[in-house]
Amino acid sequence: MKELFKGIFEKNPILYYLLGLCPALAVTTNVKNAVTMGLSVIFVLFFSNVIISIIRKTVPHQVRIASYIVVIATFVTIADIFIKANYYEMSRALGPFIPLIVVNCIILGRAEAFASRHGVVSSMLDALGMGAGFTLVLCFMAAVREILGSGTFFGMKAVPGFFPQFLVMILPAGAFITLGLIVGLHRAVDMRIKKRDSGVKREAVR
Amino acid sequence: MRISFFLFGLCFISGLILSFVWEKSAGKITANEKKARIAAVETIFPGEDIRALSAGGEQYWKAGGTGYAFEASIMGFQDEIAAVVGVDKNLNKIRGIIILKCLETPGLGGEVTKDRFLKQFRGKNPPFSVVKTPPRGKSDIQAVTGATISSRAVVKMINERLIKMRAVIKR
Repeated sequence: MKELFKGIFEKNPILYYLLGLCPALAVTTNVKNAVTMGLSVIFVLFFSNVIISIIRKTVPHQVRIASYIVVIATFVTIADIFIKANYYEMSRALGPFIPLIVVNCIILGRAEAFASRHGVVSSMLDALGMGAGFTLVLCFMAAVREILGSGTFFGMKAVPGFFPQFLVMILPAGAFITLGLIVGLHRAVDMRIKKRDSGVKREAVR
Repeated sequence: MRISFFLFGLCFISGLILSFVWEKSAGKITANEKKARIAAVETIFPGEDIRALSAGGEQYWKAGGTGYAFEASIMGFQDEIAAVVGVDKNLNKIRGIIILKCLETPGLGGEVTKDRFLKQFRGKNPPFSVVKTPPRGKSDIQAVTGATISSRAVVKMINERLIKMRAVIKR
């Protein structure tokens, strides 16, 4: 269970490892894009982690990265074809970002750091946790940027008419501002929790 | 030896899976692309009666008496760029351009899909030429900063396609 939950908050791929920042900055202009991107990453991460965990003992050490990339690229292409066939508007809105999941460092990072060293079940849980953590942060960033920048949420009007719209929030600068604040917030909450936990431990020892 | 076999096997399996998935979805994707092309023509010529025609092995659309539209594509910086181009009835002025496919770098080459770049074509005289400074001549198109290759590709695509389609439609 630890494998599942660590990715969501404590070791969140975006907030803790600062991986996968390119899509996090680029597609979070509205919540719909963020959800599609997040789900595609969960799909690719899950299946590539499973396959890599299965082949981890057969893959020759010298070409492991090349093999991982082949596996990842296969699933990315499947996701890309699926979105093009069933959600065509979405695939046009996301443009090249779906094919670019191939080089998303979260996926290769988890393959090398986790799936190549652990069994299938823990790799599955790790993928789901990391994917969910990634998706949640993406959605949160997108919600902040969409509401402040275009005054909508999931394409629907979300703020009263007199509320000003800050164009900067949907421009790249807004992405950096939002990301910075969220990373800071995560650090602060994390430190608070660690402090409390160590306090509890000291009490117990005494 | 083992390494080559492993990589070969892996790529082979990957190829099999992908061709299967593609086989299943190709029809749907083609239908979606067709719908997007017609939607693009309707955006360029709103409210006009649009008819699909073909001549000399080329397809195009006639929008009432106001103009024509046709497809164009060219190799960009990373992959093919494809667009629908609308021209007036004299086949001389650009009425609108809608990019259908573009996998150029987001933020650089990707900017050629934006209206800021594409609106330059409207009202200017073809053949267009690419400049890197604010346009002075009647055919100058200012390239997107940091994306000269993508900008040149789009301009070349429109110039060449326009000459070709003029010959086809006038006949």
